[in-house]
Amino acid sequence: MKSSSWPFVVTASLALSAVFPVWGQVLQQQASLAASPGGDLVVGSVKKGTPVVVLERDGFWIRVKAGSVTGWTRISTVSFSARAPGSVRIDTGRASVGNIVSTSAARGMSRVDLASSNPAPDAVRRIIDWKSSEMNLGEFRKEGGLLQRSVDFLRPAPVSAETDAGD
Amino acid sequence: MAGLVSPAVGAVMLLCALLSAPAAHSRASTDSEEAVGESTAALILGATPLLADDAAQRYLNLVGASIASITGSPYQWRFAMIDSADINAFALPGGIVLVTKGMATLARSEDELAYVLAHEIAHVLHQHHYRVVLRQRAAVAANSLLASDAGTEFRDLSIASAELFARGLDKRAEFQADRVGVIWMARAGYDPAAALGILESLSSIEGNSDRADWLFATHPSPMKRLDHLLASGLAELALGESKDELRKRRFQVFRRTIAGSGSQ
Repeated sequence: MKSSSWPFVVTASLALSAVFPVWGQVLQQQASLAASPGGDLVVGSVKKGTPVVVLERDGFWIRVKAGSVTGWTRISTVSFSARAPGSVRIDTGRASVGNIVSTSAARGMSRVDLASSNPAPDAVRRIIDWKSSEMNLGEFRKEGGLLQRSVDFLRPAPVSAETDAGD
Repeated sequence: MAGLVSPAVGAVMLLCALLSAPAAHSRASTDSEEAVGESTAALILGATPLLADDAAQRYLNLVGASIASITGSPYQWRFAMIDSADINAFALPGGIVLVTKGMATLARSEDELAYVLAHEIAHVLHQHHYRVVLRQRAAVAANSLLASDAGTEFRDLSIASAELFARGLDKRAEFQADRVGVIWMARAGYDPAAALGILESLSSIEGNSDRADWLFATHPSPMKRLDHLLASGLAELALGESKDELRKRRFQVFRRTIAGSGSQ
């Protein structure tokens, strides 16, 4: 994200109406690139560690550019938080202490503000007015095509250099 | 609790009860959580007012309830938008979820908004904030010989809870809320790929807008969260279609409504 190709990435992403101003790095030993999302026609392949520019996303598929090759791959074949080789990290003021994300630079609510806040219990009671009835909720879900389905919980991500590097 | 056991002992007893039965929420512990959550909400709303728009608030509640209602939890879920341009959301113990107008505006679809709410719902379900508050309070009480009355004890818990929002949770709790939240939204019928969308949007403003400083200071980076979701197998979920076409129109109405509401 902090590489020299950043302006290009932003421009390309906006042009394709996707908000995906990032580059990534290939995680798999060899990832195939397809002509379309989930398609069988392979147009190229990229090796592990290859930096790619993400051009757009469609569900769980992304179209990437690696050198002169462009194609679609499953989004999980790419890591997004690894830094590009030779990139310079921009100091955003964020820092980690152990597993706690530090908030030394946080603006807005502060300990003093909260401790000295004049509590507004009436506002809390007001929230209940907006609670939906079961009938309204049923109609809302039906109108929006929301069908309940069975989905297993995801497994915790394995701790690895790709996914758990320090912030 | 006052008059029967000291605040220190009471806090430790409550903490032990919660830690010994993490999956089961007793009515007593739920009542306590709700009380702390409501008191914390009062503190937050004392600093930042609710968005004065009934239609938008009802819509937010319907989206949140679509997810929360299928979790089988005993909480009295309530969702509200606060009139702040900052980009953030808060899960309060007991089932109150507050979302800033800035965060609601960042979402590009009902499904993305649903993911924001689902993440907060997961925090509540796993008692992420409440457990830390109790742990801190128990530690302080155990080291203090000064007894306090129930009212002081309760306010201290609420302030400790509110402070936690300014300080942030353990990042593992944030990753867990992402992982669990995305499944609850998928179970409710929303498209889980929307989680990627909101993280993309957050990533695009990281370093470019101070409206999300607080959120970035209290959460892992959006791209790290995205990587964790993918490493957990999100992209391998084989689900039927859940395109948001049917939800597009009402979300656009919601967006127009909040654009003309509030002071921020």
